[in-house]
Amino acid sequence: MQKPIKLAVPVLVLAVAAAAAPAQAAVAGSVQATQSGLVPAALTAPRALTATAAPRTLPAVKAAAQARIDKRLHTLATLKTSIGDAKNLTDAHRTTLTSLVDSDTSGLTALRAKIDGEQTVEAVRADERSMVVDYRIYLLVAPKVRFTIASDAEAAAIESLRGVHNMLASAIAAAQAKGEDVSAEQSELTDLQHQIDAASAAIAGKADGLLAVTPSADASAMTAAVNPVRAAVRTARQDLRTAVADARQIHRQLA
Amino acid sequence: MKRALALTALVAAVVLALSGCGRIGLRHARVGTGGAPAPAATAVTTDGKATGGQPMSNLDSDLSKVDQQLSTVDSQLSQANQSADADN
Repeated sequence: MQKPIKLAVPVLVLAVAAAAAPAQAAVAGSVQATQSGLVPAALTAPRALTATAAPRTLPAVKAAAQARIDKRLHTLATLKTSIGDAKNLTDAHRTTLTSLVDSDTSGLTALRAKIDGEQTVEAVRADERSMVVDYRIYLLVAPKVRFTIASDAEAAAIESLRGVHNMLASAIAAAQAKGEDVSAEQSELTDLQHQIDAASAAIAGKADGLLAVTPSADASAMTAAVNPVRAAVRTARQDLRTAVADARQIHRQLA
Repeated sequence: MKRALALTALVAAVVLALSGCGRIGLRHARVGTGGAPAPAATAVTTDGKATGGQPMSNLDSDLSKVDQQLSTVDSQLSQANQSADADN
């Protein structure tokens, strides 16, 4: 009974060694192949390839800069479409935003042509810097357009809800005159008014304040100007949703 | 006998009509005294709810309009976030 066990141990050791050998050979072969350059570099050093190196030749630098301008021009075209489609923009805001987008489109188009004629990499780099800090398409212009459209839509919603409030107030008064208990409806109507006022206060002057900000090299200043407006638009949106819920609730109760 | 029944039916119909079973219509406010013009008629809905001259049927359309305006806000906020992901 002991012999089979004694025999089995060496057999097991041999089997394990045999199984490990191909793996070791594969690793060794991989190292040798890599050292000899037979294995593509992409398989051995993917990180080195995925990191995009800055272009160094003048044509490559120009192409990269112009591609960045083209993206901005595309964004401006999209913004212009949004301005045209916005139903609740005030005339003054529509004029301001259209002028801004047209002016930036014209300026970036001219800058793109200027880059085409540059003779040095340094000159193109300076143009790229101008493309960013003199325009701030993503950091400032897009938020100006988006938040002004949003803010004006909220202002229109506030006006609509004031009319709804008045309708419901009359209906509640009529129901009360008939001797109905309208305490719940009156409480909801008070909240409806509160939400409308809160939304109105949240967005008051915010869009105009943002529109007055000019692009600069100070990215943190741009962000500091944009973030409170974004927060105000979100706050007003929530207030108005609550107001709509209040109005529907009152309407259901009166029905 | 027939005439009596017909007359009774007519009277019943008039009474029902005047008692407010037909809830759609205009209920005139009390006429002012002293020669002052009477207040404007108050619109009354199918539910009989006075609305101060503005039909409550407008309420649904007004709230739908607000819903659309808030959808615009949602859309603009969403697209502003996409712009924020781009290089500045």
